[in-house]
Order: sequence, then C-alpha cells, then structure tokens
Amino acid sequence: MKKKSSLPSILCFVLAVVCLLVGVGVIRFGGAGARAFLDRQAVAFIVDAILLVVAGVVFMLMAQGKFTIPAGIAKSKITWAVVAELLILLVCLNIRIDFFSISFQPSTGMLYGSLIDIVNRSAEITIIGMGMTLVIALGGTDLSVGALVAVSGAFALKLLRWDPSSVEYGTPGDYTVYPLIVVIVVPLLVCLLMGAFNGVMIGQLGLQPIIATLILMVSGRGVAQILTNGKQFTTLYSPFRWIGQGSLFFLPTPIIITIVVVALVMLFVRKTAFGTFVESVGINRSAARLSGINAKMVILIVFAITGFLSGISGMIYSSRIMSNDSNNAGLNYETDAILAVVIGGTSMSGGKFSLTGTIIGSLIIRTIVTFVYYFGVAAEATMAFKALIIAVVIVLQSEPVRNAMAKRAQARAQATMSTVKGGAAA
Amino acid sequence: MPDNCILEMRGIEIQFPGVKALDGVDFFLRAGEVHALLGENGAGKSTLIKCLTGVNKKDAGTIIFDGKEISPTSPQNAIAMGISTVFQEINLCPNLTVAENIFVGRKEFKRKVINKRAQELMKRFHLDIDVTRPLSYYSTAVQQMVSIARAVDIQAKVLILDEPTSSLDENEVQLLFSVMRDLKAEGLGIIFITHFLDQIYAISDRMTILRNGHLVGTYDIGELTKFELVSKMIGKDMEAIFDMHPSEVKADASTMLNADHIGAPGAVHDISLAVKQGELVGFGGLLGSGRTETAEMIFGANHITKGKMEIKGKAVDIKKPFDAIMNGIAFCPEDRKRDGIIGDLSIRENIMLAVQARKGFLHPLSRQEQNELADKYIKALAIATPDAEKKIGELSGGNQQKVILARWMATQPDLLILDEPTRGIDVGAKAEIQRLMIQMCGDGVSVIFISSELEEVIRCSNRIVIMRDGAKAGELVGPFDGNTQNRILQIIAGEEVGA
Repeated sequence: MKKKSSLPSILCFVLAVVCLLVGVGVIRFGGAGARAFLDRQAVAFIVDAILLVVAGVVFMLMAQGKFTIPAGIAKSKITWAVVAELLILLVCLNIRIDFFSISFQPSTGMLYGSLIDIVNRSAEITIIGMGMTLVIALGGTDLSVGALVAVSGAFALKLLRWDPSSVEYGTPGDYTVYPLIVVIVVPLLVCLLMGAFNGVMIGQLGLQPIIATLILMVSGRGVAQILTNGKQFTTLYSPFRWIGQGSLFFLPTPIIITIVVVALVMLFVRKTAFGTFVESVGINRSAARLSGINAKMVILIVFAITGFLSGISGMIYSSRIMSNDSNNAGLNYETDAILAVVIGGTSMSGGKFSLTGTIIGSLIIRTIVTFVYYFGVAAEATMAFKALIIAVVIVLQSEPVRNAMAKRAQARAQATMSTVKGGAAA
Repeated sequence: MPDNCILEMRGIEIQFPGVKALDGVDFFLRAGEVHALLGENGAGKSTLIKCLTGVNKKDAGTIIFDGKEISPTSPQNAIAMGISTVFQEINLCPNLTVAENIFVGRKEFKRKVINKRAQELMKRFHLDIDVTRPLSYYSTAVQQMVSIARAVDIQAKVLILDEPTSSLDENEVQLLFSVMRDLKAEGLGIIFITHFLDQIYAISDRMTILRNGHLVGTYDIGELTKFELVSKMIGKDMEAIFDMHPSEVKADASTMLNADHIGAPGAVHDISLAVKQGELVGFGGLLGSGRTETAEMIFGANHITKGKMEIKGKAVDIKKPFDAIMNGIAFCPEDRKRDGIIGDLSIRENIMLAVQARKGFLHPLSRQEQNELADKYIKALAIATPDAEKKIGELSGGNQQKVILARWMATQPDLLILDEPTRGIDVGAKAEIQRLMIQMCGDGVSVIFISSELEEVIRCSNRIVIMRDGAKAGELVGPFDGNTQNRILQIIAGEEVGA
C-alpha cells in the first residue's frame, strides 16, 4: 500500500525543522536585538518543533485513516476550552519564555512564577464558580456573589478590629479582638444565610433568580457599608494574612483552599445523587417534582452553597489586601464567575453541567488577565483584549462550530477509510 | 396519474446515516381532500412531511406542487409557496395575545387591524373568544385552533396537520373536523396525521400507509376495515394483540385506596372512590371533567383541601409527590414532555430517578445498581435503544413512555396511576403498554387508568368511574358488553345515573 501523506502534515514537518534549526542556533538572522531574542527563546523554538512534529504525525495518521479524533471529544465544549487555554499559553511561551519560569523563595517557603500566579489569583473565581455552576445548571444565575465577597470581608475586618467593650475600632496592628476561628466562621455563616435567603426567594416564593439575587447584589454592599460605618479598615494580624498570602506545601494558601473546596464540591455533587437532582430540576422542574424530588430544597441548598463559597472567596480577597473594601471587593465577580461557567461548557439554559469545565474557564480568564499585565498591554485596552479572546473561545464552542468540526472529522475519517479500503482491495 | 392533484411526490428517497428513512415513496394529494398519512413511529411519516416542508433534503425523487416542480429549502420557504404545517406541539408564544400570535412575523402590525382580522378569522372557526387576551389564557384546544388559523391564513394550498387532536376532547375534535370540512370545501388539500383510527374514518377521504420507509399503498377510505388497516401498518395480524382482557379481581382482595369525598379548589369538588388490590379502575369522562385533577390529588401534585384519603386502611395526608411515593403510589403524568421526561438525561438516569428520590440524595444508588435497574427494564419493556446511556429526549414517544413507566415500576408501587399513557404513541407500543398494565394487575398492583379513548378504557378496566364537572357522575362494574360505551356516554351527558 502506498504511503499517503497530507499537505498539513508536510507543512508541520517543514516548520518543525525550521523551528528546530532556529532553536539550536543553526539559523540566525536580524540585528543584535533579534539575536538576543532568539537566544533567549531557544527553548521555546524547540518546544514548538516538538509540538509541530506531534501535530504532523497526527495529521499523517488521520490522512491514512489510522487515527480519528473521537466525535465525543471533537464535540465536547471542554475540549475547546482546554485548546484555547493551551494556545494562550503557547503564545505566552513564544513571546517570553520566562513566563514559564518558576522559582523557589526560601524566605517565604513558596514557589513563585506567572503560572503559580495564574492559579493563585484564579482562586476567588474558581471557588465561586463551583457554586455558580450549580446555580446555572438549575437554569438560574446568582448576581449577589460579588456583594457577598464584600460582606464577608467587612464582617471579618469588623471582628478583627471592633472592640465591643469600648464600642470602638482599635488602631491597626498584629492583633485580633475575637479569636481567628470566630473571624472566619461568622462571616461564612452570614454568607451561607444570605445565600439561603436567595434560595428561599427563588425556591419557595418563585421569584426569577436574576431578580431575587439582584436584591442582595445591591443591598449586600450596603450591609457591608453599614457594618464598617462606610470606612475601610486595615489589619496586620499575621494568621489572617496567611489565608490569602501565606503558603502551604510550597504553594500559596489560596491554591490549597481552592483544591480542598473543589474536591469537596465534586464529592458532594458526584458521589451523592445531588448532581443528578440539580440537573433534573434544571432540565424539567415539573417532571423532577413529580418524580418525588424536592425541587425547592435542591434550589435552597444550591444557593446556600454559593453564598458560603462567596464567603470563602471574600475571606481570601480581604486577606490579600488585609483590609475590607465595601465598594471594590468582589467587583464584577458575578460576571467573571458566570463567564467561567459558560466557557467551561455549562449551558445558561440549565441542565448538564461540568465543574471541571468551570475550573478551566476560570483559569482562562485569569491567564488572559495575567498575560495582559505581564506583557504590559495598555491598561485601557485590557477589557477589550479580554473580551476579544473570550468571544473567540465562545464562538469556537458554539453548537454550529462544534457540529461542523465533528462532522468534518467524521467525513474525513470515512473518506480516508474508503480510499484505504479501496487501495487495499486493488 | 390521478387527476386534480395539487401535490405529487414521486420516488422520494431520503438517506440518513446508516438508514434509508424513505425509499421510493409516492404520495399524491388532491385539492379538496383530507388525506390521512399512516404508519407506526419510524415508518417515515414525519420524514416525508419534513421533506415536503424543507426541513430534510431529499436524495432522490421529485415534488410537483401546483403544476411546478419545487424543492423547498426551509419551512419558511415552504410556507411562502403555500404549504403550511401545524404540529402536535403548539409552536406559539403563550405570552402574546391570540391576535398577535396569528399575525406575528407578518407585514401587518397595527393593533386595531390585527385584532379585527383575528376576530373574523376566529369566527370562521366558530370560536367566540377575545383575541386580545394572552394565548395562555385559553385551553390547549383553543391554542391548537389558533395555530391552525395562523397556518390557514397564510394563503395555504396544502395544510399539514400533525397529530392535531392528541390534546383535544371529543367536542373539540368535532369542532376541528367541521373546520377541516370547511377548508376542504374551499379547495385546500389537507394531510392528516393521527394515531386515532376512529378519526381517520370520520374525516378522511383517502389514506396512504407507510411502513419502514416504504410505501404500502394508497386506499380510498371505504376500501379497508380498521383491522386490515392496522395489519397493514404493523405488517402482521392484529387480532392477537388487542385480544387482551383484565384478570378477575380476587374476591378477598383488600382495599388499596379509599378516597372519601375529596376535593381541591378550582378542579374537583367531590370524588369518592375505592380501588382494590390488583384492580384496574378506568376513569371515564370528558377532558376537563376532573380525571387528571383527581389523579393529581391522589398523588399529591395538588393538595386536597377536603375529604379524607386512606391507603391500605390507614389515613394519610399526602401534601407532595414525595409523600405519595413513600406510600407506594406512582403516577405517569398526562403530558409526557412537560411533566414526565427529563430530556437531557440518559435513560438510566430517568429510570432511577424516582427510586433515588425516595431514598434521598444522600443515599445514592451505585452506578452498578443503576445499570442493573436500567438494563432490567430496558429488557422487560422492550425499550428500543442501543444502550442505557442514550438521552431519553432522542427516543420516540412510545419508548419515552416506556421509560417513564419503568421509572415507576422500579419503585415497585402498590398503586400505579397512568394518565393517558397511550396517547400519541403507535399501535404496537400501545398494545404493549396495555399488556403491561394488565400484567401488573395480575401481580397484585392496583392501577388507575385514564384515557380519552373509551374503547380502550372499557376493554382494559375491571371497573370504570365516570366523572363530570369535577364530581363523580357514576360507576360501572365489569364485565362490560357492547352496550357499555353508550351507557358511559349517557352518564357523561347526564341522562343516566350509573350504578
């Protein structure tokens, strides 16, 4: 049988050779600046060469009909989110290779680097995103998460600084009025209750989620203002600093908190039947109810969880700034969280959901922001840049595009199968 | 070539991946006739319609409409040519007014004008309704009429009615028929798709039968008897299938359910009934007489506000479906799509749902238990699917109904309430569901069976409770004879008081 190769695979191989030659320093061009760039980026070119060889082999095998991308993977939204994330990282790699450098700082006992930073800074949205995924799977949205972040921070700072015996705030310092456990648990419980309030409005009273959560979105920040008399307080209490700025197992604490939260939510949702109940209520509430599912309870639990998670997020945020900020804490978190969920492949109309997708979605959002900071894109262009990339990701994930891709893959597989068979018969 | 043809479809072939959905089908429609298109689910009726309305592209064959060859590219395109379709599901906007629904998407949008024209149109349909009210204000039947009005008003020459009667009661069906006769007299060609054989004989002039994508034949309505027709549809002899009768209720059977003058505001004000173990009780009565509402009350979907209910001799207060399930009651709702299936979930998940709901989400069934449950019922009920992971939304109506039935059989209920379980599904699946029902009664399960088809209620039930205007109008105890149907109709009409 004649070996078949396709144009894309040949192109990949040629490019790979070029990259390799540039990488190992055989090809050199341009002035001193360009040479310095090429020297610095040598490893990136070698990585490109390896990736191109892999791509070339895949294309060749596909052309020969020995390999096809399974339709399930081609059609999955998560696939495209992962591809998008990897592409952004690849662009970073090719602009500045030290984007990927990770160093250990013995003085803080923590790893540093842009990649660590991306995961660290995505913690707030990932944590809220876990709850938001469930909310969206129910066919709703929760607009109050950002405000709850502010409430949680305000409560924490109040408990750290406000002395009830003198009814005054002390001076900032490395102390706390109430024990740390109270500083953490009380704000989280308050957020849990506020989430439950959302759940009651939506489940028991039948308000539309967007309206019901709008109440706390607006009034939550008001509550935070009242709690702190409209002022911003700072603290220097070091155990509190550890939550957002400390480290555990060489990683920033927020990453560890995120891992624990994600694991707990995933266990709760997938190891019990709760996930199926959420999906059932999201797809067809009436049928779920007639099957004996207590839809109101499911809604209440989901919104309460989301409130609680917003509280955790707020704790991390205020520990990062060691302060409360009723106006800016958690600002626009609701849109970022919704975006993370949508990029992750959960449909806004409710139903099937993917927590893994949401994590990837949150990472994508943070990667873009980090990219913008790292490469010094003008601050005023940041928003537009973010929007552009997200628009591309979402278009790639849209039903028609995914179907077209899956169809193309299938058609190509069939076509090559038949020619291969025909060739073998001849 | 038949004369006076407004539509000729010749040698239509449509290939889907792996299957030939239509293979050389001819279909001729005359102007001014009602032409029934018949076949089991999957026979190719819908595909033929979709080909005609531009949803699916044909791979071979010609369509000649009004003397010209056409190849519709989209439903809008077909409508513009004069081929309108009314589907089983009402594709209108419930929050717009009746008039707006009729005229949405057209050039005319002055409120006064459309209201006036809509009112005239509704008069033509013998409907005296306020067209400025939102569509959702009216019953399903009226909504159905509105969608037909909308279709006809777009200067249609061919009107396709896909299961238009499945949510209508007898009077409403008659109303629809009179409208169809008017339209026929105006020279419209009507293609009529339905599962109700009686209706085919009542209104159609000719019929075309499809089976497995092939044309069986086109016949004048007098040419075939009902049995011959069904035999041609399913390709085997019918008599054996419908020769089923309920088993006798044991003389010493205990009382499963005893409802004493129960009622809830707005729906049912006074129903009393008792169901014995292993008994099949049929509900008779018009749509809206309180059949469905009674079932919903027993199941707790509607909380009863008066009267008492006893299950196995114990007083119960059923506030929500969960309470009913804990008391061994199961309920297949009337509107499968709205209240039954969870479309995006798999067959497995749909089957295990009620069992899981009873256990609570903290005590999940293991994946293996779920698989066993699903496989058991897929086999027992002969659900046509490659595996349990297929989405229920992708199954045919009959198979969806079987999955819902499986969901409840899996809870091993003592009392199973089936509200219109055989509506909108093909003859074969219908017979199977009736067989299952009767078999379960034989196993000691009590069944309440609600159906708009009196014939099937009479054939399957041990006892029939007849309702009128939200109250019990009478009760007949089997065995039943040829006269039963008349007696039931008389009770419904209020001319006779049942025993």
